[in-house]
Amino acid sequence: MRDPRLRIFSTILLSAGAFISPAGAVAALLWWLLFTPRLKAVPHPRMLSGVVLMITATAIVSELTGGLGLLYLLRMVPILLIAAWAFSDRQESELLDVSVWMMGKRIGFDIGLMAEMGLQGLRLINQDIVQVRQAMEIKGMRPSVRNLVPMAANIVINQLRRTEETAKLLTVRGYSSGGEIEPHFVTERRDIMLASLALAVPLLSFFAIW
Amino acid sequence: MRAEMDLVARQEAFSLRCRASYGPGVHLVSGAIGGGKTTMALAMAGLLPFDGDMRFEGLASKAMSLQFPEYHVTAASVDDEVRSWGLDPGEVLPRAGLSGRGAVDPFKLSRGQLKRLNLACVFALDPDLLILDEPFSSLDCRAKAKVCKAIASREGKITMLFSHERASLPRVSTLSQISEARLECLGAVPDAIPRWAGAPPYLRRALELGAEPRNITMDDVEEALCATRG
Amino acid sequence: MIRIEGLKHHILDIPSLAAGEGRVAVIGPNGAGKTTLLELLSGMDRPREGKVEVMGRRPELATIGWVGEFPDRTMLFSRVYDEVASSLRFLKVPVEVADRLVRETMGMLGRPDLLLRGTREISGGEKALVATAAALAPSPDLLVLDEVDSHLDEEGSRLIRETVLAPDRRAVYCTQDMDHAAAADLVLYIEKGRVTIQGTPEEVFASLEGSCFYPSMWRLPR
Repeated sequence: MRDPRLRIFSTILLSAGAFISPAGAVAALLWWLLFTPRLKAVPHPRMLSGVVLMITATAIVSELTGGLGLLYLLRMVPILLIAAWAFSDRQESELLDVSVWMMGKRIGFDIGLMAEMGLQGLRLINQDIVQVRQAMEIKGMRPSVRNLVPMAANIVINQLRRTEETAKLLTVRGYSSGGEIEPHFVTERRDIMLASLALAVPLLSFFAIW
Repeated sequence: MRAEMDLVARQEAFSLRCRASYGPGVHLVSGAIGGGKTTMALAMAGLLPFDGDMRFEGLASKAMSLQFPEYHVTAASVDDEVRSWGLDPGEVLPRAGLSGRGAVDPFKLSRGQLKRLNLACVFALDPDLLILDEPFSSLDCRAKAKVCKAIASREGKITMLFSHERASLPRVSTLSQISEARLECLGAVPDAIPRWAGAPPYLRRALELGAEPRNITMDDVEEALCATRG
Repeated sequence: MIRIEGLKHHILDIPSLAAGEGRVAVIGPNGAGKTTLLELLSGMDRPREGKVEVMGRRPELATIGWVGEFPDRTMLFSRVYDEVASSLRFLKVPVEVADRLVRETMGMLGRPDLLLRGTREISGGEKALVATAAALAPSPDLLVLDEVDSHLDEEGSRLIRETVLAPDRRAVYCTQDMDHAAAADLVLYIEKGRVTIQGTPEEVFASLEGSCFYPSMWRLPR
């Protein structure tokens, strides 16, 4: 889905629908099967399979001890799959747009900016870790508990320096709070159709328990 | 002594094709920023996975200096930092121009000073294969001249110089360049010089003036220009 | 364009300095105080003693375009467009005006195509260009570049020289590339915190002839 607002909206509706009744869960699963790239949209298949395994185990234990384990499984699987799809379908840059659309040019902008900077920081820490490990390997130092302290110190100091640099950049670019921005969204006809169908899921679910 | 490779090195989504053979001497690899110089340097140092072959003949030791010197720091004092390379601070610090600064926290040094410290350490190790990734960045021209001297003094050993430096260069044995994710060996100097797309402005100007410098340094260029003017 | 009176700040000791409109190159050895001076001129830091003025105002009251040594490590946003527009948005410039300025700036740098890209996927040279565009977009009173060229290749630094440091700009830049410094209107040579030589490139480099601070291109017949 191109429009992040409709994607978030659909995710919430589908999850609610799956949670309310087994019929809703089946409908949500069907929605996932029909309209997403399915397993290709799972960002970390190994992680997801781990989570599914855990839920299945919980469900079996619950079922064996007289609980409604299988129903729990039926609900959780579509919720997880849809969350995985929503996560993989997102674009980093939407953060700022969605945040401003939801919370306005002041707080929304600040939160969006923080989120963007946070992501950037995480990526750079990742790069730092790789480089520090390479530097230690050059010296013939193996990653070990003893070497953990200098390694961590190095990464923290690099991150602090970068924070200082970023703060200076924000000051010099004239940042005080908020920003003038008009979030821009592309809504495709398919987005509206999928979101409408997603809306049908909790409705169906609701009538099904009646 | 020889380093030979025929491989594809990978770093995240980027992959670089390298086929080369380097003997004793100084080998300059140039190319655009983000073009793959660091990828090749890391692969040669054995720090990146690759597909293919890399063979070292008669090499007992190798060392590498990373582009950003701060990543090398593993100790809380300059003295201990030198010792972490298995070296004697009393010997290395004067060469880095940091005499008397042994007790200082390495992170209190400027980036230029940290670079000098790191380079002094890898030169003091005197490895058979020395890989230098952008050794001139963050240095002023006096420090660059010292690095050139240190490179020139490594006779009989292999020095890989990955750099886009435009003014302070040492004499080199061969030229290579990376473009479009491929290493291209241009061959030995001076024959390779006219084929070098990444030649610094002064060298290109000298070639335009009809000079045939024997090597790539400013001195060689001036000498060649004197010769052309009779 | 720049006025400094009785400045004492960290290593810097500049009793008096005035620079007219144009491009000022700051050169000198490592640790001489070049970056400290640039940070004062961009309003990131206030002088402990003395006065620093940009276009007759305290630097923090002027609009400054700043590009640091590692533009690729200081991107704020994940979209090139957001990065270039950041200053205009922070300064609450109306959206339509900001959009026009963003497009004009990238057009002037010859790379309007970059606006549709992400800041992660572009090359190192392109990142430097984007950081420079972000600095230029609000038409700053003064452009401050801190060794931007040290991590740029020939192509990138030529682009900076020809577009960003074009003759009509007001800019201060420090560099270790003397050929680059030779293109300035005024050159300041700083050593141990003091401006020891200043003047036109011809004047300054005449007194640096024979040292490694002499532009390599000047050693060739011109």
